[in-house]
Amino acid sequence: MDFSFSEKNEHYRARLKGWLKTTFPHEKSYRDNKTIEEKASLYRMYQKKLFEGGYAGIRYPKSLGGADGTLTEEIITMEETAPYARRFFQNVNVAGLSMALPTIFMAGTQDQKESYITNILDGTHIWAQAFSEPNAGSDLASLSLSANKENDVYVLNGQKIWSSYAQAADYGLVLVRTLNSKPKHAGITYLIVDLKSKGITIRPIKQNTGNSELNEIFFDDVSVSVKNRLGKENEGWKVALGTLGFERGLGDVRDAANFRMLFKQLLKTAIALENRQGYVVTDSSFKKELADLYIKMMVHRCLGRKSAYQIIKGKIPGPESSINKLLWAELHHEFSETAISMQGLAGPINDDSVYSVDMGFWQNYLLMALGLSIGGGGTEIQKNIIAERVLGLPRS
Amino acid sequence: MRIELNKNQELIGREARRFLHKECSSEFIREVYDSETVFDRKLWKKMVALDWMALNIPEGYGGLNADLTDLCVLLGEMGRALLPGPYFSTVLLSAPLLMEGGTEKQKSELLPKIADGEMITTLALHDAKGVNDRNGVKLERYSDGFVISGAKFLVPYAAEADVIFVPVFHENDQSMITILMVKTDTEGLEFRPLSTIDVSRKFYEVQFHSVPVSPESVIGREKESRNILDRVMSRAMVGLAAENIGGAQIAMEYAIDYAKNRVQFGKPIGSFQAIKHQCADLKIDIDGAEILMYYAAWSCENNMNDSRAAALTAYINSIEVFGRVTDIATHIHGALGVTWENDMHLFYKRAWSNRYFLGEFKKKKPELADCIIDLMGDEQL
Repeated sequence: MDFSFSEKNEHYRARLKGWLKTTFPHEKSYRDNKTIEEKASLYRMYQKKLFEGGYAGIRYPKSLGGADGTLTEEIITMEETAPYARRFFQNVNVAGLSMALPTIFMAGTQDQKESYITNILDGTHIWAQAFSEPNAGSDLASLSLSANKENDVYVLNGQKIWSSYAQAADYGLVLVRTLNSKPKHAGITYLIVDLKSKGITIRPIKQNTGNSELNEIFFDDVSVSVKNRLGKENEGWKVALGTLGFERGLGDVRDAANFRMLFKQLLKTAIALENRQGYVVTDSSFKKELADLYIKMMVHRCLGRKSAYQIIKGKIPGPESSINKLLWAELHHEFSETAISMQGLAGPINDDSVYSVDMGFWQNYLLMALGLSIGGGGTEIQKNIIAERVLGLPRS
Repeated sequence: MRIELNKNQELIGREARRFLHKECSSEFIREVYDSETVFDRKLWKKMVALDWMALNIPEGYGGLNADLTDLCVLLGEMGRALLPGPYFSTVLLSAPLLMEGGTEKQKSELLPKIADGEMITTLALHDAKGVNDRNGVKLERYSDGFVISGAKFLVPYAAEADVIFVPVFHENDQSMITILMVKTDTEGLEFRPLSTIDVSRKFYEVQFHSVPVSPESVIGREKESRNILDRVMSRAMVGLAAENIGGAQIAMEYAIDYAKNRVQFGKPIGSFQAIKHQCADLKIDIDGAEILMYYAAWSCENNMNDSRAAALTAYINSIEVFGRVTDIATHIHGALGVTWENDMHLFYKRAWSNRYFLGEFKKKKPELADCIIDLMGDEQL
């Protein structure tokens, strides 16, 4: 086995590293107290610079604004840009970059590709995913937002929920019901919806952190042209699943780079706290937690490398990618728990006062992490997938 | 990048599985339990014929020069079969000490014999200090050699071995070690068999009653000995991880098979989420442990700067996974799982025995933490 990249690829990495360092000079910032608008504009600036530098849409063709690069280069770019993506809130447009982009590229018409792809890559447009509904969460296929076809438009009525950053988004990826079918997923259609359209109301949901990244979206007689359909009518479910494993696999690489950065940050903080409290790094229960965290992080990292390898070889990761989704969510929980338990009595302090550690970053993270084992297919759903589709156990 | 086994490794795995299925079935393991046969020399001879002892010994000394990943594939199969006998202690724990630190004379004298299966060796790693009233081993130095006295504990297959490697930790400086080779027919050695939960791997207390050792029997210079032992132990940890994962894998396969076929309330119990999710947990644990093990094998083989951390990571994780998986797999089998007839207890016992094989388990996480702080503590964000 060989877990390393080739010399040629490492050369690409070195060049990219240098470019990132000079383009985005270092700036220390822990506390995430920016508004969604501020985050969106930081993201747009960042994405535009990536685009201009030739580091956006690595694997997409130049004619659509991509870099005509290889998948391996895309993977390396994801690893190296991870800290910058975090600093410039690239997750504001995670739906655009890791869902709209590959889905339109795979299932879109030439017109759709030309209209949307470059605008995603150069930071012009932000996208949101609108799949879940109040009565269609884990059982997503039971969604009911209606789309009645009148001539060449669909008229949408109903509600979506848990849509991240929809308040800042220009377009939405919306799953709608076009047929009351059995099985339920055979009547779903995939639409691109301009979120500024008449009849759309977006209402932010205040979360346990106090922030409002999630939204409800109400559709009241919203007209969407049939030209905005991705794939065929009633085949939206297939379109939605089409890019899932692939993107999950690529995302693992970026997440692994993020975890490594978080780990170093945690270690730095622990060493600094040693001087303040006198027992952190030398404390044996901390050492045990640190070892456990490192082990989990390495599991996630090595499994991520493995799926990256499979993707490079042209194999799309199957249902076993549920393992990494689950580990990813658990790891976020454990990071924040370890980081807070080492802070002594300052554990609950969440502001940037003299008492606080890392300006309350970990305390916010603790609450944010709770949602990660719920969203994107909760832990129990992932375990069902592993048991039924990987191990072949009978369906419940 | 290549994160999958190559053709040759797949072949090693396939042939080993076929061989062990026939020669080392669970009926055979039960016979070992009933008869307390410590070591089946007939089986050993058949393994010799497959060149298993020669696998990781360098070509110049009659070996096949295989790498650690090749060896791990084989060890995984041995773990599935719960192979009893001194394979691990000879091939993973002691022959590599010679490869890492032996003189040309020592290597050319001993390695070909190990490769041919003629010589069985073991490592007496753990001082008996703290076990009942035992003292650790002490070394007296004379102009014409050494004298060892004291006791070592949990020494695998000591009485069956021809040579025991004995690291003696210096009293004032634990970073200094003298590694000595002692022939088992030397006067003053006493082997006391230990009764442990896992009969499929035999351990002894070794008493050294003023055992003389010649200066030619020292492995490596004393300043290098710590590094020699650490490198060998890193690779052994990866090897033990492979064995643990093999055992965990088969326990999972049995549990899943049972969950698919056992019907209660009119349905296979595997259709109930309470069981299904436990099965998923087994798979998650094992996939993770397996990739950590292969990563560590690669890191050790290529002397990467994280090789020690990677080995500890794979080893610690595999120990916990093997314990957890065999516990859950037993539970899924219901009452059958706690019967002598069912195989689960054989694996559960090995899981708990392996926890102590390479030292006290509870000390390993702090050791890993120190290793990580050294490795990453001053890396840039």
